[in-house]
Amino acid sequence: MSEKQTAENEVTSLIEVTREGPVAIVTLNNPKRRNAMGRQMRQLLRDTMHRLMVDDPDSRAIVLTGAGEHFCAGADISEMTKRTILQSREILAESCVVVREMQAGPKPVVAAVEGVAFGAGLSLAVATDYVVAASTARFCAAFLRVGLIPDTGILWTLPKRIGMARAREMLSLATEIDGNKAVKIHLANEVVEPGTARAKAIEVARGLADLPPLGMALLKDALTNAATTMEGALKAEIDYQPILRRSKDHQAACKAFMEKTTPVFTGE
Amino acid sequence: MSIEQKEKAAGADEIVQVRREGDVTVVTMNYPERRNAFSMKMRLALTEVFQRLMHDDPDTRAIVLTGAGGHFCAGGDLSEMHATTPPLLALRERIAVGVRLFKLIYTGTKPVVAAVEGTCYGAGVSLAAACDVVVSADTAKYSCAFSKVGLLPDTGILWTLPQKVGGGKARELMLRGDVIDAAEARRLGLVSELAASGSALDAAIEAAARFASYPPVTLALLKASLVNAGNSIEDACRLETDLNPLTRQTSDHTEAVTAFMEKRKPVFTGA
Amino acid sequence: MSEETSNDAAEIVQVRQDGAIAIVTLNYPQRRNAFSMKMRETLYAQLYRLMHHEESCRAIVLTGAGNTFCAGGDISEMQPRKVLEYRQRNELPLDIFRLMVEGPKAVVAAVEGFAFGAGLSLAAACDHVVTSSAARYASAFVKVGLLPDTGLYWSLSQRVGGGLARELMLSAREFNGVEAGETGLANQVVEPGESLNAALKVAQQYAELPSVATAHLKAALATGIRTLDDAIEAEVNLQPILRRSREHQEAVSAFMEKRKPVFVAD
Repeated sequence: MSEKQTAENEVTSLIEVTREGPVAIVTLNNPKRRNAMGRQMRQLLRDTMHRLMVDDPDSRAIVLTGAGEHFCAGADISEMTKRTILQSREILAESCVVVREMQAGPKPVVAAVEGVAFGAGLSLAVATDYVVAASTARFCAAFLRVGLIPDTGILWTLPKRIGMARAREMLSLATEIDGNKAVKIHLANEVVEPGTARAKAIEVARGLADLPPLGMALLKDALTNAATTMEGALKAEIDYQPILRRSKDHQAACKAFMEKTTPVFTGE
Repeated sequence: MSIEQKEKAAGADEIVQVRREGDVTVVTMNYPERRNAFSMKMRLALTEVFQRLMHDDPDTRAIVLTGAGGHFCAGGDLSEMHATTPPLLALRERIAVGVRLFKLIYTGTKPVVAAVEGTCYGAGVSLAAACDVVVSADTAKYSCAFSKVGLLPDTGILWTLPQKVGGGKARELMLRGDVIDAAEARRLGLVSELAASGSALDAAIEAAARFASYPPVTLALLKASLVNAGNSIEDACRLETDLNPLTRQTSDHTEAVTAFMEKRKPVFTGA
Repeated sequence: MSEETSNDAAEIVQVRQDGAIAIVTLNYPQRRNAFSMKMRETLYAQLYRLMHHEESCRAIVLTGAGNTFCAGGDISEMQPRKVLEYRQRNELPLDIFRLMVEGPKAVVAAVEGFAFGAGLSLAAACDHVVTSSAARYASAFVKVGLLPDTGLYWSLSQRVGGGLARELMLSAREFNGVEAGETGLANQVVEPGESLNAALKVAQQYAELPSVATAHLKAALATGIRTLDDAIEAEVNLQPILRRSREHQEAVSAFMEKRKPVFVAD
């Protein structure tokens, strides 16, 4: 291997991608620091997620998880050195790109959370479509404790899941909750035994991967970008539904319904 | 046959039946052989009925929407969709019909209460979610099954389901299309009230009748405000400032205040 | 202008300070703390002072005297007026609402008894709501031919979701503290009589957190964050300010030195 490739391999190990069938598993890989994320790691995650979403025909669904015993302890505080205002603005905007990729991108994303999901780690978890949490997982929007406002899109993604009253409480007071409480308030979609979140997330992702991909893509796009007002939601329907009605996958679904068989979806 | 029997016989064939219960009008989707599937014919008939009830029927003070044959609505008519695939522009117009119906229910001048028994799938969920109150039999089942047949959830549900169950849960239900029971639907906020199997309609009519005891102009203005008032503080403040003085000018408001001071029931006229 | 706190029984809005917490009590118990014009004027003045001119106050608790929160507008004041007068009279409740939502300090409601009409609006406008299980809530406006006011459209939708807010506002139905907790209107449900104590504990938590960050978070949430773009814009605009604040830099130093931070605002 050339030196350049070796260097790339060392760098890419901060974010690892593995596969199980149509599911791509993205693993935050900095376990000695509970997967705390510095700028380089965030950029890598952004690029990886983008590539999987738009340039990876082998995957139809994505799982996001953390190496070792934790999901992600948040931003790397040791990197919070003095920066200029414009640098700060750029870095913040950069961190949000992956949130938009996951929320509006064409493939469903399932989070598998063991251990801590603190600060930006929490932001990443709640930016996915479906959160599988170990009962002992710990969720905390720790930002206020270090004198920062909650970031990485969490001001939108958390209230969407748990409502503004509970979100305000978690964001303002930096309260910590476990997996059992998380599923009760709908921060997590499902709670599992410790150690089994990854397997369950892959199972959920496989189920989502079996659904017609075009419908999935347009639905995610509509929910994130259009359906934030009533008129926007209605326009998305009128614009997108005719395309889907004329898609091969929809025809296949109707045919399978009439003939009582199981359809196979190609994405067309 | 008596006049009533004739009317009843005529109504039995209607794909959407309409009947009055005092101030409340009950609208029944009537295509029981297909569990009231949301066919094109059903959509057009419902649109016509709601247009009339909302804009041309002062005697109707509240509306109940329900389904015949023990089911609410099983969703789009897949056999119809399998049989024909119109050209793109024609499809746009068809979807627009559903959108017009949705707007009539959601932004119309009178409260609408859904009475759900049995199956409530796909567009059935859209219709229920568009209503102001959902009364459900405890045995009813709900599923946003659109994604399973490669379609986008429609008839306003991209807006109304998150409004009822929150954005995160709505995304989960619409992505996966899983079936949930009435108790879960109640816990999530899709359903407002549970009733014993077979009695959702009676409970819904009761809920609707309560609306009929409020000043109709105020209800109409309130429904109109609610479309945009929650969007931002500016929108909320502007609507309050613009519309509250209007309600204070109504004789129904004066009657309400007077009745309160005199400790008696108010009598509203709609003025 | 220093001694404006008043626990005088005659004051329609009482204010007393408990350490860094200001306790604001609606005090018109003979009318179940109805939201009269005098109440509104006094509440606005006191809240404005606490939010903007009282450094010793780091968080606010809002409650009602006589074991009830607020039973709504004062019906005896609802005589016929000119249209322009109605428009003008609507400004003060909205100013109060905006002050509570957009102001720099957290407001914690302690709700016992009735929170009807404008009482519901006031509770819903708070950052954190502690409710007695037996408290009684209703958006009673439509029953007297009125539309919801004092920002309820926004604050109720925010807390319980647009669908339930719609249902509650249209039906004017009553619900209790338990349901308030289940639906997100209230953060915490306690035994009757316990709400003030519990609210003070929460207010104390707010008081101990960095005040500049708290103020900016409130400002961000007040913009509504309807879309992901809204969220990104808020954080890109505000976070750089926080990163340069004394509180944040102290927090980072404390973290690196493995000690507890001591927050001092800029």
